[in-house]
Amino acid sequence: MIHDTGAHHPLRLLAAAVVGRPVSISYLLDPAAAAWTDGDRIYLPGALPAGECARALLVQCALLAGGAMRVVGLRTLVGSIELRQRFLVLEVERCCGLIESRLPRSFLDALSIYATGASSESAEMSLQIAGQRKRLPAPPTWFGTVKPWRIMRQNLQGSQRKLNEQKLSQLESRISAIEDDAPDDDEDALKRNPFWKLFSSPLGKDGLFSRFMQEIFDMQSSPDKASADSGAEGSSEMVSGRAGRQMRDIANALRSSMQLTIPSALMAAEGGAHRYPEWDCEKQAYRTDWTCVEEVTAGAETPVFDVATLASGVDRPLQRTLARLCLGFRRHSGQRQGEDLVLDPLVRLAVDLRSGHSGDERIYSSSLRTRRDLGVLILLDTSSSTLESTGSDRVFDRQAQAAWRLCRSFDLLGDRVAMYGFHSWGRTLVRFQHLKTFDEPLGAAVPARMGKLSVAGYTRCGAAIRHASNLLNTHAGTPYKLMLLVSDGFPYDDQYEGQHASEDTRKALEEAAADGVACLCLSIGSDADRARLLQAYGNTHFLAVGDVTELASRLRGAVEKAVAAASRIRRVSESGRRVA
Amino acid sequence: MQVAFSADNAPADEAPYYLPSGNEVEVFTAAYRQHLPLMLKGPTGCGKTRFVEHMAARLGRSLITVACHEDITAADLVGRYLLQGGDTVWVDGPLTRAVRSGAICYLDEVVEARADTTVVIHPLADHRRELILERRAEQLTAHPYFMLVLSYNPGYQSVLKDLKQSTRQRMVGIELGYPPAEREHQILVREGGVSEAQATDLIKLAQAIRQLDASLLPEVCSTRTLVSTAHLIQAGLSPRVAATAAMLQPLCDDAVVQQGLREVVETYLPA
Repeated sequence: MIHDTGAHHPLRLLAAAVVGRPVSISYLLDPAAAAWTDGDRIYLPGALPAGECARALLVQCALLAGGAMRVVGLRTLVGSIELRQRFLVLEVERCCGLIESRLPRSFLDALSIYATGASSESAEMSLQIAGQRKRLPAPPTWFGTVKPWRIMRQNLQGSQRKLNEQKLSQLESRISAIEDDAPDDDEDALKRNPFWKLFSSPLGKDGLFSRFMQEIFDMQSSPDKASADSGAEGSSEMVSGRAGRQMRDIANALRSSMQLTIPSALMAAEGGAHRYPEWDCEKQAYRTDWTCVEEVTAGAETPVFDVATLASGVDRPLQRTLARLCLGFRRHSGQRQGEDLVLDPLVRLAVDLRSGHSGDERIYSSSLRTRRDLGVLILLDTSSSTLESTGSDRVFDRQAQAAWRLCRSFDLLGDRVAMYGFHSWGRTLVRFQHLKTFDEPLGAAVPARMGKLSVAGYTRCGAAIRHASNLLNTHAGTPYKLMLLVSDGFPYDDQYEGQHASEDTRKALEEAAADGVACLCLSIGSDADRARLLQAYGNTHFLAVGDVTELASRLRGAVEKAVAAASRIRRVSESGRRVA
Repeated sequence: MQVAFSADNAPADEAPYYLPSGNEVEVFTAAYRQHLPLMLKGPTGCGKTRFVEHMAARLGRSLITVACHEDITAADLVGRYLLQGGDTVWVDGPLTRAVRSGAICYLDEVVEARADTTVVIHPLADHRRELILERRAEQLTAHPYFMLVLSYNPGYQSVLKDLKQSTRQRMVGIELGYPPAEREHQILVREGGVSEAQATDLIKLAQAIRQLDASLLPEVCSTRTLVSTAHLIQAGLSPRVAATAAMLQPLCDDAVVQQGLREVVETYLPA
């Protein structure tokens, strides 16, 4: 069903290079589908030949870079194919013009025949021109399409949740019931209908449409009296006539795009996107290539917390306690005593003494335990549950504080440090928000990125641990590796809860340990159920502290325990491998 | 015996090609006239060394280059007594030669040297302009045309490898980056000898790759690798093959990232 091109042409880097930030790509299973973007992710038909695929991708990348999908008033495009196409032609021209300097020449040549001469300066202006009578060229198929409904849904709360088949048929049946009740097709009556406002007012998070969609997501599997009495019924009473038909269009649109895409990483290995298996405790077997982890840029529009609250000074007690962790031997020349003589200073000393000087007596070399041999990856839980406040501040604030202090302390000591925020929406959407890689120096960019973290979604720990341990193994380059998971609670995600989640997390920890990565889950001032956390992480991998300042006294012991456990498990697994 | 690489270049008749992207030529000249030492910062391959060569030729001074490394000692810079037969003979180091003859002394990648080594330049780098030869109990006053230039790349060195504040504060700084697109285009045409169209393609490719963030690539492609690509194209390779060899291979070793980058190259360059 899927053309080979997708499997052999990882396009994620190309997209990131053109847009200027990491972009996720999903392939559409329907071969006749057109490419489109929801302002966040790009959807590409899988069945295009390589060259054409790149061209379609570049168009969507330009639309993303130019912010075409962020326009207010996108709803006017709903229902009119012609308007959508006119808007698309105008926006492709405008957005490609913005990033012309980094678009390939051949692509710009192909684009030139669709010049509109309208010179639109913003997406709003394009919308306006699209509504006028000006003659515009028709877009070619590789321009893809615009899906206003999907974009509007994307901006809603809880929008990342999947609408399954069952819920969709419920929605459809409700809409058809509304239509039967309301044969009235009088336009004026429709305009007077409060429900109409839903289509004509800008959508806010508390908008009626938003609430309506929320109801759809939250519908019980079998509608009962309780759900019938809920707000969904209340709002649907207002739907009539044409509005009802429009709702059915939405349902169709949602149905047509549902479950028909696969993340690019599940098809081929790609830079910045990775696939991992998951442990199924019922079958006692791995589900191969089950989860998809993507690295993205932290880019929330409204800062989730005040970066100025991050401690700026040096945390001496914490630094002192971490200073003696995992040191390796390093040869030091220029010692007054040691095991070996070093020839160069020895000759120099001989020359000095002969020429009548006192000379430098540091002519030995010796092995001293001074080398920093630790690579640390700090994983900050950015799921929505951390926004709950206990006492004066939110759990997230405390976690961010702790992660920042740890990152700074390890970095000042000369350890290799990386830091990521993670969250997930189901198995195909596990996201690592990049804060600092191992190779980047710790600078002002890191707190700036922390301020832009998007805090939402759930916690699929297994996939996060697997990816973090992979990063440590490939990029840390140190003999000792430590993963610090700063999280508020137990693993939970879509179809990832209870025993399954705990067992998978435990399995992921075992795998990490077998690769020599020590893991420690830090819970900071969270009142999460301790027993359940212990069940998921086990005693050696878990440390709960009430407050950031407690870290200084308790972290070292816990880290040493975790590192020792990891090296023990590694030895066992290595000898097991040798026997096998 | 560890001897740092040092080359004494007599003033060239014609200055090596360098296209300024900002006011670096004016700042360099002013610092030279006012006897101030200079610090060049910038990513690898952005033209720091070429800039110094260009300026040395332009100002008519010879250039003494020292490539710094971890084991370089103060004696490697200043000079030492060497045994010759039964005698000990004093041999000037590159820094001392420059101080005596009034050359430009260029310490390349100076952070690689240990901090205690770089301290020998302190009396040279402030108002005193003196080099103290401890072994010979000699105090050299610098030639009026002597100039000290340091370079380093603030990107990849760790916190532990940083210039001491006391060293930094004695310097005048110039920050160099990759030149803007149209300047880089000129450089490619002039230095790499490719056609205008080929240069445009290469610049667009570089502009795109430089958009990739640090989580995928620790360093991006430099002007130097662009020029190398242009040279390979000149030598008859196709643009794609040349870019893969000269730009992608040096960039990273990760096979998956390489595959993704190859896709970028194929989109931007003709076969």
